[in-house]
Amino acid sequence: MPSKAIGIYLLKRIALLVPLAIAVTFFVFILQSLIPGGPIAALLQGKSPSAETIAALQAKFNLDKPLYEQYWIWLSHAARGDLGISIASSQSVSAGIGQRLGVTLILNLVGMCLCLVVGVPMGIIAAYRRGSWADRFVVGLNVFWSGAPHFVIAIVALFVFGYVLGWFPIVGVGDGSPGSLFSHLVLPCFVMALGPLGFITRLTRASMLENLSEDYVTFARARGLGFWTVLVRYALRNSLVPIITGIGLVLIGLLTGTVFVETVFGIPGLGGLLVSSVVNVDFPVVQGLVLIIAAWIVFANLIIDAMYAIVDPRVGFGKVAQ
Amino acid sequence: MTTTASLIRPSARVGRKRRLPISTFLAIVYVLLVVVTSIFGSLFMPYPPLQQDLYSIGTTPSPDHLLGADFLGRDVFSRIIAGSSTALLGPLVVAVSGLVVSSLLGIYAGYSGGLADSVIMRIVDFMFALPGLLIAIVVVALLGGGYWMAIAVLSFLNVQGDIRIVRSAALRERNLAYIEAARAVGVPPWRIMFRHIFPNISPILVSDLAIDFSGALVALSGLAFLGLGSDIGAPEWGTLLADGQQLLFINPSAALVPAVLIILLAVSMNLIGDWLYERYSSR
Amino acid sequence: MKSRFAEHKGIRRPRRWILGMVAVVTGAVLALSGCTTSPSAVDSAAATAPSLTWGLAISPRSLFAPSNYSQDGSSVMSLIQSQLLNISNEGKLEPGVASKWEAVDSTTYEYTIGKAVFSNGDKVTAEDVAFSLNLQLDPKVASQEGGLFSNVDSVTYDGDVVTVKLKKADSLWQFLPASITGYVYQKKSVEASLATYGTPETLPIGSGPYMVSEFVPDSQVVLVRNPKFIGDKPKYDKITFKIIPDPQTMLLAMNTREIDGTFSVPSASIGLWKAAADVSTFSGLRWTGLTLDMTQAPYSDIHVRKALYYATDRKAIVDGLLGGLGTVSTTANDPSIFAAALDKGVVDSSYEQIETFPYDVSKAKQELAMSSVPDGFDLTLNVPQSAVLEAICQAVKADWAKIGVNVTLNLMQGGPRFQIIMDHAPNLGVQIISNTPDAPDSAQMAWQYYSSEQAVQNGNNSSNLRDPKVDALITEAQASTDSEKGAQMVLEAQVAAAKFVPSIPIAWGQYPVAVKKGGNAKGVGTWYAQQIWTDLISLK
Repeated sequence: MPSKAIGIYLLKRIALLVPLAIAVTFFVFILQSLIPGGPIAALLQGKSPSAETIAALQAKFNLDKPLYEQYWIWLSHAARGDLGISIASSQSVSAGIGQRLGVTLILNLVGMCLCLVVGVPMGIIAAYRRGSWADRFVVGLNVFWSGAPHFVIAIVALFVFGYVLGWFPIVGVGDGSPGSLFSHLVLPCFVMALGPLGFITRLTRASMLENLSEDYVTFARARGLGFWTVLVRYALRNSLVPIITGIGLVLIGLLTGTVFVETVFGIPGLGGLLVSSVVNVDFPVVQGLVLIIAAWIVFANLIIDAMYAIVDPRVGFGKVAQ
Repeated sequence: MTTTASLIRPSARVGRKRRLPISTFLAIVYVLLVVVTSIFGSLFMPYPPLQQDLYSIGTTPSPDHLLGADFLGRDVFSRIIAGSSTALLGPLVVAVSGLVVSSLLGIYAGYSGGLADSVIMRIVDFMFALPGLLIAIVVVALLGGGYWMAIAVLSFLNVQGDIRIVRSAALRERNLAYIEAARAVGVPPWRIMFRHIFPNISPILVSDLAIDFSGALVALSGLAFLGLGSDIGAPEWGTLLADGQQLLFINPSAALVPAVLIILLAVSMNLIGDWLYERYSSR
Repeated sequence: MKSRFAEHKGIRRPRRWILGMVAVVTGAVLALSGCTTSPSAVDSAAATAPSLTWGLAISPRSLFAPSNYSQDGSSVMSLIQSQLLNISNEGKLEPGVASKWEAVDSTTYEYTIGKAVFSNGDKVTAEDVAFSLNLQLDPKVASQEGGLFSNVDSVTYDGDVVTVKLKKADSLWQFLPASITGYVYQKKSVEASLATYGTPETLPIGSGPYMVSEFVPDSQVVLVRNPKFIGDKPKYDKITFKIIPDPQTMLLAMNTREIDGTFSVPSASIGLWKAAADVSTFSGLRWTGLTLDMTQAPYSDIHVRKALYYATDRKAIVDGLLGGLGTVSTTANDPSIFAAALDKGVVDSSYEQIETFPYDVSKAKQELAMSSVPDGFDLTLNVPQSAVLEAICQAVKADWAKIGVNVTLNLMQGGPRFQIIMDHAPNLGVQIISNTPDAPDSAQMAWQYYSSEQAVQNGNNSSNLRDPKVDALITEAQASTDSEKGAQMVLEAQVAAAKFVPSIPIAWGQYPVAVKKGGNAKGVGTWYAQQIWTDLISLK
């Protein structure tokens, strides 16, 4: 494929991010402006602030200006890469997000890898040995996971593996060394992955079943091609499109899981930050996070389009998405 | 991004079993049990679900309190029975509203195609790319409002998936001979859509209903865990689970029983939905 | 159609596959976690040095007091920043950065600065002190606790002496140098980076016993001993605060000894905590109660207010719901706030005069029968999101239903709920209050909840009690420089206010502190957040 086409495609996709970002941040901004008292009341609840204190705080964060101006100030700064200052913590929003981004990315990416590395083979095995105990086990397990709320799995896992068995530490991300980070994140990553894993397994199984019954598979076997060749090169390859679509959904779905997993395991990531900043109406932080989420969505779609193009050369880059 | 329903839903085209699998049978029995409980349960409630006894907070199961008491000394067993109706009603509203909107828009888009189709699908594609529960968390946390606010937000966010599925089913039907025939003899489009296509794709709608139901149930319990979208004091399963969690190590049954009931209900509905779908696609 | 491929089953059994898969997963996890090492890794201190690991449910949002007005914040900040004055558990003032202090007259206070040294080696000067106090008055800083300085006219310094002039006599002032507003910051370091001061980008510098070595919001704060500290060597060389928002996780962390202790012991599971750790309690001076808007029907009728008071089973709430972490309250001030000013006998006899209406449903019904709403009425109670307050409101709802008063509970976020009280629009109805005084000044809470000065916009008096006699007593107490006389005025004001039944006091909170078994926290008291409280924690 000509690299120019890819370039144009990438530009288009990234250009799409701009209206998306403006739309969602404006929507969230309007929602936040409806909150009586806004961030200042959330900050000072239960105290007895003087009128001067309230006025000074409002002036400091531009809350005394008309709404359109507040949004414009935010937007024009954001366009220059300045996401502002958190009202709750005084920390710059980009620093606050940057500090928490790493651990959330690990949770999401490792979760994603687990989904693929465990989910796809499980789906293949289940499809290949349809009706066997392995198939029934895989299907049953995944049906169960699909119905279990994240936080329930998290608490149960914490209790069993962290407390009763004592295999993993209970809380946080450790002292910063890779080993301790690893031991702290094993459990959360698995909990993150379980639900989506079930989803990917079901998808793989269904898609493989469809292809394994096709004549070309039979024909390939008849030609004497090896077991693995047929399974991977033929059946799996042709089953990939729905799996890739599933991956897109999982990439987005994992974000939601982060909120629950981080809350239960006391992990300082973006999910917890989202909940606390929404509750505190800390709108610069909420806006910053909304931007990150929008970018993540666009990024996830990019990856999927790229994968479509890779698995099926007939699909021009980005064509499937249209 | 384009997907069709058949890619997402497991639609095995091989080794179809006409017989009802035992797991699906059990799922149906369990759902019926919950339905019966929600209708007649109040006759068997040992205590009023709101009756407090601040001196028996977090007591463990006993003949007096079959599942112990919660953090206000309320009988957990009675509250679970009382909550069975909301457990069904809330997710049902989400699923049914999705069903109604999606059968209107989805069949229309799929059958008529053209501009309407592409407009509807553009919107659906946009919503498809959004993390629904995450948006629900933000909106419900900001706007407040109890259980029904959460239901409203989830209903809205849930519609897109349904439209997608219904549309592709309608698209498939459109090209079948009986529709061609109906069109040839001059049956008006709305009649084709709702007297011909609708009944024929209704199994997929019901299957979808069941799967949306279980998604909404799990989402609601997640919101309740974050302290969002629950009416304070109301005996709702998600809230019971979140409240019981406070006493997890004191009276575990106050948290575990609602958790198990929710998981079973979600799993059952999923099984029923999958089974219906397989039956439909194997027609 | 039967799967033809399935017929190949048994030809080859690729079992090694699964094992390989496990290896791949493990490898992927390892690789990913390995390549994203946090840059803020700290060299761990010598293993032998005594260290303390403490659980916090809420992360300090900043380590700079003007942007963090909260008790959990203070409990960390007071270990870093020395205060102008210190305070004992009983609320007695003691020398801090100021070696001596005196009230020249009722509106002028002088503080003589001692020998404190900042952790960077610079001496603490009177200029630094005056600068720190002036931070509260600077609209550019917009200090959250600036409201406490409403009566401060000016802060100046000359040589070693800092002079504070007040607009009018204010009994609260004397304690403020020993509170969250009394932290002494270094002028040059704050001025260099005011906007980010106290955030992870600009860690604060102080003259307290500890220095911040790491601050990762929502994760942990690590403090190490400040070698320049001029006071006694603190007990621990290193203190690690771990942020654990989930109460269940906190308990598990206590059980597995990942933390040595915490203040965050939920009343709901106090029994379990007692089994898992050594739990002691101290008076938190926290008042929880319901205010009734006296300017709004039907609460304007004293019979209605009395009826609701009689109908509230406060003892059951305290004993049952709060798990004993509190006592039944009769007014806003916990009697122990008077400990430094008055003898216990005097205080107790005054509290006995406070009119109360203990739980009695039949008396409640009688009172209601005498009112304009004999059959009861409906009301909506806004509930801020908090496990304890939600539970209390539900208990109150059940109690009031017994006399025909139907309560609808409306769960709200804390901010918007508080804004309703701040707006002070007519008809505040019933509001639930839970608040603590900022300093051992008994006049503060009395003023907030019983004075007409606070029954206005941005005021806390959601009962709208406006009584000249009560007002006069509170004003006189605030103007009194004699703490004993002032305290007596407040006692009188409380008794006078209670006659109007402006509110239904429910509880005075006890604060728990849990330390791992074998250790104890016996010395930790009411004002711990303004003390070097870690020295009072003993581990085995």
